[in-house]
Amino acid sequence: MNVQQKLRQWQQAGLIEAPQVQAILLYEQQRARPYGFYALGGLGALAIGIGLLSLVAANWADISASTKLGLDLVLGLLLALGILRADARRSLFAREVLLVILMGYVGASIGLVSQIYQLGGRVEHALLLWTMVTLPAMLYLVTPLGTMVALLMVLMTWFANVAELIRTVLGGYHEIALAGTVAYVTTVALLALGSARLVLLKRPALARSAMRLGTLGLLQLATVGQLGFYVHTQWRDVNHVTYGCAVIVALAAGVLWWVARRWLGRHADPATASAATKREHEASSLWLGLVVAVLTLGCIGPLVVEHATLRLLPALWFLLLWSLTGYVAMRQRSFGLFRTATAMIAIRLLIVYFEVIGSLAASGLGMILGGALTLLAAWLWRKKTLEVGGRMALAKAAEAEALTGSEGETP
Amino acid sequence: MSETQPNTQADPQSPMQSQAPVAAATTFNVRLVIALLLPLVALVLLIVRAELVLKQGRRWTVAITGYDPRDLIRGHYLQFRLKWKPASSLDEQCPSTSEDCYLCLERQGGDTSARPEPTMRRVYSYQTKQCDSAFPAATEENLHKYFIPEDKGAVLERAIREKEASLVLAVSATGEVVIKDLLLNDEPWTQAIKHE
Repeated sequence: MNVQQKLRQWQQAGLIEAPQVQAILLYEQQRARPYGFYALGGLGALAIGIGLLSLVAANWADISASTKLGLDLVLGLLLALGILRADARRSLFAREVLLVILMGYVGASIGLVSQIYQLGGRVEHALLLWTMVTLPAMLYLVTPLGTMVALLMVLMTWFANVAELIRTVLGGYHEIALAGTVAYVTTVALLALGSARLVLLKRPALARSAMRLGTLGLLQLATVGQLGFYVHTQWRDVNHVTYGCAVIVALAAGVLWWVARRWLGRHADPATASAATKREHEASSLWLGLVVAVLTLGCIGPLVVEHATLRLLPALWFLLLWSLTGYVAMRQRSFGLFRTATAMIAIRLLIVYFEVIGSLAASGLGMILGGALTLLAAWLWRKKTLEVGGRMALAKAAEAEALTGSEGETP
Repeated sequence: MSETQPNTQADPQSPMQSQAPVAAATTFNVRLVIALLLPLVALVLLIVRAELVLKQGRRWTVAITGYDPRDLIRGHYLQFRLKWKPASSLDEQCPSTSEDCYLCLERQGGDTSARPEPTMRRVYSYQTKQCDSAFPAATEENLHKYFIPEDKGAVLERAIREKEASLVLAVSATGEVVIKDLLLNDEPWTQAIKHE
């Protein structure tokens, strides 16, 4: 139901008067952002960027090299002038679209020069050059779509080059530890970027995009990252490299806890919070610390402690992590996170089915136990989500009422 | 041109086009100008560098061979190996995986052509002074493919099987190497396939 329909209903019910309806509609109109327009424009810009790349790939054989390069540089100059003009005229949309096109243009131009001069070379090096020369301009992107595209470019370059570095420096078992460490540190760096006060203030769209990508990374760490227990770690695999990784991850875990505490206090004002609220906050902060510790140990622990392939511990550790997450979500009245946690637990229980398939007897037993557990989880999930959802809604309403009351009491 | 603050945020009243004063249209953000010039300057430098190697580099002709007749052309790239003519020197050669290993190209006695076929041996960096041209061994992997137009793939594949294929390389005094041309029976490939 849109705002206008709601307002009409409230007006008919005598809750609000016509002038208020007008004022609200005017306010909403001013706040409205043309997201459809942004999305279409962004898609158009992306299509042009990809089109440029395809054009290069098709290699226009009949045009001379100097003409191609000349036209390419003229196009670059025109794009730059267009961006400057859009910036001077304060046309955010045009500047944003042209910046994304410029990004595609630079990538395509590097490809064009490489093809004309048969430069060869590695893709990751071309990506690195692309990112380095376009990054200053990309920092001028401010919309969610624009910053997301720029961040994806940086991440793509980062992972491509780090993978090469890892391949060059080491090989074999340590790749896992190093790749995991890089994934962990990158995720925490993204979350820290999205939580930093300065970034939130100066580049809110960049902060939001970093937070979203970081949350995706966190989800991967809390799922794929917990599979290290399946690796058969032998004494020869554990050395200064894996210990170094563990130290780096432990340090990053400290930063992750800082990010988690910021998330916890996102709605609270320490200056006005009551003693009980502060105690609640501290307790939740400790619970979050425990979640971070379990997550981190699951990621790096199996790689620094010698162990054989474990069958039960991976599932148990996963269930422990997501149960704790669900509990914290309940404490924080984050219904979305609570539902995610319960869904992850249910999915993991289903996977247990396939893990126990071995002999017929073991499979049968595993299927029966797994099935029962899944049924139990489904029943609990249904019961708890309704109950917790209701409690959360009530608690939020009470909070809102208390806030309104205290505002009313203020002279 | 005067420096202004970057327009980092949209005007909340009108994200598309604000009522900015006309004077604003004539001012440019210096930092943005620099940020936009950087990729363009980098592209120009990339072109200048490649042109310098092509113009000033010493030219050599090296025969090529495919990895496998079925795998000569992959995508838009012709893939091949270089058939170096080994030098008769008995000196110990460095491993190509070593970062300090260079490919040393030397003119064969009596060959006075403009782009001779060289002999090749692997030497350490301190030995490159004896060479007519030298470049890092790691760079050789950049010389294993040649970009071709997508509609010429089939013709070129047939032509390469029937003719002698070779590359013209340009090697600069500083050890940079680029592919100048692909030859089929000593003729540039674009000319050679015209009669196909």
